[in-house]
Amino acid sequence: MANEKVHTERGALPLREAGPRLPPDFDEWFREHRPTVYRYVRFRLATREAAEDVTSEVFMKALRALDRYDPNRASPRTWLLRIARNAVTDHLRSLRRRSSLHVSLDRVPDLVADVPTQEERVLREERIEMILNANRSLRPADQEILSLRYGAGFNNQEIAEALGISGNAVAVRVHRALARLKDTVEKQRSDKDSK
Amino acid sequence: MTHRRSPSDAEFSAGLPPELQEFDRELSALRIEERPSFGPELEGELIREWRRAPVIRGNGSWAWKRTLMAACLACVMIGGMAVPAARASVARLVRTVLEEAAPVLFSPAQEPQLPEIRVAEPEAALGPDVTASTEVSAPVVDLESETPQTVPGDFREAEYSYPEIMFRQEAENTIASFYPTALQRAGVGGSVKLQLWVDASGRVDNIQMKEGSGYQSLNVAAMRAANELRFRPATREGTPVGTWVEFTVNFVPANQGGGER
Repeated sequence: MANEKVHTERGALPLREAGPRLPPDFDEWFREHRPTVYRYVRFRLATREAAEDVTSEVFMKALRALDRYDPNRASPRTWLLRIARNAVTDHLRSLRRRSSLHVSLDRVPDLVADVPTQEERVLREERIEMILNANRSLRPADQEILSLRYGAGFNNQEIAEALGISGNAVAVRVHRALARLKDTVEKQRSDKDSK
Repeated sequence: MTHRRSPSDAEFSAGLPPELQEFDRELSALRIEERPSFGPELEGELIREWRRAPVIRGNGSWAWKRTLMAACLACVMIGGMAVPAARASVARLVRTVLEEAAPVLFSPAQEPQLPEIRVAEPEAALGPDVTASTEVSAPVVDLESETPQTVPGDFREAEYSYPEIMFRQEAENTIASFYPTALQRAGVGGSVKLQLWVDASGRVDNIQMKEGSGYQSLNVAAMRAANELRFRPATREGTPVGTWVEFTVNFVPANQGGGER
């Protein structure tokens, strides 16, 4: 095992000597970009369990397709996010086929705002839940761009790279999607208050 | 986990109308936390996958190497068929195989025995041994612990012990001390289902609320109290490990039959 090598676009790289581990490049990507992938996926899916399944699928696919990764075409993060976007789309499609798109959103414990105390965390959950509910009711293109920005934490330039559009187009789309999200959240809130 | 923003991004945010700027800030402050054990679990799965599938460990040349080998074999066979002696040998071999195989294939008496398939009994639900609830003087604080989150793959197969709550009486008293007095007096109680990450030292390192009681104060009280609990940690093959535990705290006011569940 010590002499085993993994071949990538960057040439042959030795595997770690201490037993079978992940290929070094992949290991690094996994550690560095897993939170980004997870956050993006979680922003788009209703439950943590679904997000974990899809994130696992993303890295499994990436591992299997490692030899096909071309660093000249995309950064590892963009490549992983591309796989994630497709995986989310497939997941949502399969949910629709099973007519089970509706998922209870009564708890979102892994989604928290930057607040100092647990009491405030609890108080903020309802608000976050409302925002994510609203996000999932937007058009897929709006969900996508908002999830990249606020889920994965991409800036406009990175979103442009991921979606293959210009930075200006991203700015316009984010602006519009944000406005639509805000309207939807406010509508949900007024509906709730009127009940 | 803060988001990195480029200057142009900051300019974009600054260019938004005020009401959207505020919303943009709110969304940017949103944090999404992974379950602490998710990363290591997934890494384990990936390593297993990597070990299991040597074909993906090559440089992609495996696929074309196999194709090349199959093509070479086909060439040899076709070439061999062109030689009369080889053709006769192959024909003889085929005939022999067919003759021997025919009765086996068509005799019902010799139907191959299918292996017996047994469906294993499902494993008992994994759960820490903290299900008992002792009666305490009013107000009653009822501790229940339920099945911890599913533990994947190897984790199940390994010798594993579950977290156990330590100092049960003390824990009940601790939780009782967090029961808001005003709610006790008002006869308000409820159940709060929590998910606790019990680390390898037995401390509660992460608390997530799975189901609230409907009263914010009770939810908060349960979470604060859970933070004070101490567990004997789970062990895997004798080594303490962190794990998730589902834990329900029932706040039962004194005037609702103290001591009863």
